[in-house]
Amino acid sequence: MLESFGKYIDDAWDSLASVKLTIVIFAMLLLLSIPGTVVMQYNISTIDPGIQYNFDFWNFGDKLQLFTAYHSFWYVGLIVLLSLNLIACSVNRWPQMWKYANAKAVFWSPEIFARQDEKLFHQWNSKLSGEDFRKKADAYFKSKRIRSIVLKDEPRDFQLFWQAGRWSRIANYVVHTSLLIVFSGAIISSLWGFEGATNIPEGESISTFTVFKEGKHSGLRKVTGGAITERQLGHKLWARNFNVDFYKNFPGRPKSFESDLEVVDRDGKSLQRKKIVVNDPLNFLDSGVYIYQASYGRLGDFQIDLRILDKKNPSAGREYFSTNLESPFTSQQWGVELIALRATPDIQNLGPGVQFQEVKADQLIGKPFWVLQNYPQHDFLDRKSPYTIFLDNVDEKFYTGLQIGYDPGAPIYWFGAFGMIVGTMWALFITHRKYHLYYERGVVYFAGANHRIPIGFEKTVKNMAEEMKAWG
Amino acid sequence: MDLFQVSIYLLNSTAVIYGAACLFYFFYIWSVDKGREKFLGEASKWLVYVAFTGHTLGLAMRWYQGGFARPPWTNLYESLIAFAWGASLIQVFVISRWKVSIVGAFSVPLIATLMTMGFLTSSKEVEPLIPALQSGWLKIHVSFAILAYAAFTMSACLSVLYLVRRGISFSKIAAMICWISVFNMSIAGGRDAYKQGGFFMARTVTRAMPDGSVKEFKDTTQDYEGGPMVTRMEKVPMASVPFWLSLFAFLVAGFALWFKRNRNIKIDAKFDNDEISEEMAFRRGDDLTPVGRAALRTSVGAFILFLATTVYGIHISEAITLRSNPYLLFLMIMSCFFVGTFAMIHFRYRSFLGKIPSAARLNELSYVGILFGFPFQTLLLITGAIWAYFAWGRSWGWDPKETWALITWLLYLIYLHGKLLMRWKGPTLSVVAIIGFVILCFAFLGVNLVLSGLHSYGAA
Repeated sequence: MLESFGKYIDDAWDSLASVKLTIVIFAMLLLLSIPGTVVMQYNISTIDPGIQYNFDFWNFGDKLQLFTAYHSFWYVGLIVLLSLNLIACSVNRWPQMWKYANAKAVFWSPEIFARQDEKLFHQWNSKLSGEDFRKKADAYFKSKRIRSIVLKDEPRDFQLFWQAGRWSRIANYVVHTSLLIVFSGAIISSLWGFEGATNIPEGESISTFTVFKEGKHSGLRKVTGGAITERQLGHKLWARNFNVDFYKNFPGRPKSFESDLEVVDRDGKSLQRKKIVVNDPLNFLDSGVYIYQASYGRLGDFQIDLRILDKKNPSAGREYFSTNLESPFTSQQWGVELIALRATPDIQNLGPGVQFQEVKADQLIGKPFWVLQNYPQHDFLDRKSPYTIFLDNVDEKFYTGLQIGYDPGAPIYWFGAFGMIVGTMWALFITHRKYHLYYERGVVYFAGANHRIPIGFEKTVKNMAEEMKAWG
Repeated sequence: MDLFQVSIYLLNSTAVIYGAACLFYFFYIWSVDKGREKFLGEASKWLVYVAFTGHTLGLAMRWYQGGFARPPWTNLYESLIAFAWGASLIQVFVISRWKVSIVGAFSVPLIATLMTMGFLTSSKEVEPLIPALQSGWLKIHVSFAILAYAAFTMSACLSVLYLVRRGISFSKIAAMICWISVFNMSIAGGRDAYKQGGFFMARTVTRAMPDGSVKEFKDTTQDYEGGPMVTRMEKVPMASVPFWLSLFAFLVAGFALWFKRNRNIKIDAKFDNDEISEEMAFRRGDDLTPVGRAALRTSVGAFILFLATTVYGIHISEAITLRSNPYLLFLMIMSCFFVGTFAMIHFRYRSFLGKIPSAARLNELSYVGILFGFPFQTLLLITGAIWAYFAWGRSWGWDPKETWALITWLLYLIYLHGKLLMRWKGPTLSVVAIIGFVILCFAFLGVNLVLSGLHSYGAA
C-alpha cells in the first residue's frame, strides 16, 4: 500500500519534472495569451466589456474570467505549474549537471578516439619526436592560454586534455532562477503595489485618485462617500501649471507637454515641487510612488485676458477684463454686456481668436464677431462700434492626465531580467568544450567533444588540427 | 528636388529592384540550362546587393532628415521600410557569407511585399516625434526588434528550403498553407465580420480638426490626429458571402489534405536523418488521393475567390482602398508571391534540389538564425518593459503588442527546448520555425492593423 503510494508520488514527480510538460505548458501559455489580446480587458480607461458585448457573451466570458484574462485562474494556474515544473526539472537535473561539470578527464585509447564524431576527430602522422612535439604543444598552449592536464605521461606516448566553458552547464540554472526571480518580483508588485490615474485641471488640485490595480497590502485608504475605485493620496497634489507645445506644420501633434506639480500638506505648506514631462516622473515625497505624465486633454474652456479700447483715442479709457467662455462681462464705459462664445488657439493659421457677442438683458444684439489676437486691426476696421476689443492673452485650458504607480517589486524583477539576458547569452553561445590530444609514437589523435549542438565547433577543432599538423 | 523626395524616390526604386530580383529568382528556379542558370543566379544575387545599398542609403537619408533623435521607424511607412531593411541585411549576410543565395527566392518576395506596402502607404512624411516616443529607448528597443524579427524571418525561409530539401509530403504542405490562410483570414477579416456583420467594411472617419475645420479620412493610417471623430462603416454588398465561403473552403480543404493523404507513401518517414539522396525527391503530389486532389483544387478556387472579392470590394466602394485593410494587402501580395514560388519549385523540383545546400546544413543554419534572434527577442521584451516603466509607470501592461511579442518569444522558447532538450528532428523544428514566422507577421503588422493598442504606428 505504502509502496504503491510511494510509486505514485515518484511517477507524479517524474511527470512534473519532464521537459515534455514544459513544452506543453509553453504551448498552452501561447494559445491562452491570445484571447486576452482580442477580447476587451477590464481597464479604467476603456469602456466596460459588459457594455461592449452582448449579454450572453458577457456572461460566458465573465464566468471564464475572459475579461481579466491575464489574472484569471487558468492563466495564473499555468504560470504556477510552469514554476513548479521548472523547479522540479532543475532539482532533478542538478546532480547530473554537477557530475558532468566536475567530471575528471579519463584517458582515451585510440579506439575511443575512433568512436568520436568524424567531423570532430583528426588523426595524422607527425615526424616530430615526442619531446619536440611536447615542446611545440606547450608553446602553443601558452599562446592560446590553454591550461592542459596530462592524462598519460611518457616521453613517446602522452595524452593531454583541456577544456573550456565548463561552467556554461550552469547557465540554464541562471536563466531559470532569474525567471523565478522575475515572477517573485511580479508577485510582490501585485500584492504591495498599485496603479492608478487622475486628471487635474490646470491650476487646480486633487487629494484623491482613481485606482485600477491594487494589491491586497497596498495600504491605500478609501474615500468615505467616494466611488469604489477612489483612494486617498495623502497630500494635496496641485497642478500649478500645464503647458503643451504643438509642432508648427503638423496640427494636433504635440511636441511636448509638461505639468508643474506641487505637493502641499493640509496647512498649505509646500512639500515638493517638480515639472514633470513624459518619460520623467515625480517621485512622490521620495516614497517610491511615482507620478507620471501620461496624457492631457482639453477642458473646452479658455482663459481670455482682454482690453476694451476707444476707437477714437485708443490710449485713453482702457478697461481690463479677465474672462472665460460663456461668462458675460459688462463694460461700464460703453454700457454693453459682452460674452465670449467660442475661442480657438489657431484660426486658419492666423493665430488665436475669440468670437464675441453683445448681449443686453439676455437678448442677443447684432451678429457674433471674431477678434484676432495677432490682427487687432480686423476688429478695429470691420465692426461699426465706438469701441474695439484688444486681446492680451488667449490661453486654452487643459487638464493634465497623470498615472500614479507604486511598484515595489521593480528592483527584483529588473535584477531577474538582467540575469535572464546574461544567462541566455551564456547558455546559448558558450558550451562545454573538451579536447583530447594523444601522441602515440608518431601518430597524433586529436578530438573535440561538446555538450550541446556544436555550431562552429567543427571548424574550431579543424583549425586547431591544421595548426598542429603544420608543426610537421 | 529636396532630400525628402530623393529618399522617397530612392526607396521606391529599391522596391522595384527587389521586385526585379524576385523575377530573376523565379527564372533562376525555372532554368535548367547550366550557363543560363549561373548567369541568373549571379544576377539575382547582385540585384539584391544593389537593392540593399539603395535601401540603406534611403533609410540613412531619412534618419538624417529627422535628426539623430528621430530614427526612421516611427510610423507605419518607416516601420515597413526599416523592418524590410533588417530582413535584407540578414539576407545579404546569408547570401554573401553562408553562400545560400537561393534563400532569396523566399526572402526577397517578402521584402518586396513590405516595400510595396510602404509604397502604397499614403503618409510618408518625416513627422516629428510625439512626447512618448522622445526617448533613447526608441532606438534601442526597435533595433532589437528589427534584428530579432529579421533573423527569425531568415530562419523561417531556410526552414522552408529545408522542408523542400527533405521532400516533405505535398499534401502536408498544402494542408498547412490552407490552415495558415484560415488563421490569417479570420484575423484580417474575421473581427469586422463578427462585429459589424460584413467582411469588407468601408470605413470613413470624419474628424473635427484643431483649426476648426472638418476633415474626412478614408485611410485608417491617418486618423490619429485631431479632435472628436465620427466613424461611419458601410457594408460592401455581397462581399461577406465569398469571404465566409473561401474561409470555410480553406478549412475543409486543409483537413481533407491532411487526413485523406495516401499513407502508403510515407515520404518523410522513410529517412530519419538529414543525409538524403536525390531520389528522395518529393514526388509531385504522389501522396494526393482523389479527395486530396479535389481539396487542393478547392483551395486554389478559394484563393481565387478571395482575391476576386478583394478586387471587387475595392472596385465597388470608393471608401475602400486596399489601405483600409493593410494587413490583408500584406497577405495578398505575399501569398501571390509564394504561390508563384511554390509552383516554380513544384515543376522544377529535381533541378531545384541541385541549387540548394544539403538538408543538414540548412537545418543548422536555420538553428543559427534562431540562436541569433532569440537573445534579441528577449532584449526586445525587457527594453520594452524598461521604457514602459519610465513612460507609463508600469513595466508590463498586457497591451496586445506586448503580449504578441511574448507569444513570439514563447514559440521560440518551444523551439529551443525542443531542439536542445527533446532532440527534435529537423522537420518538426522547421515547422515550428515557420509557425513562428506566421506569429511574427501578426505581432509585427497584424496587431497594429487589426487590434488596437499603444504601439500605434498603424491604425488608431
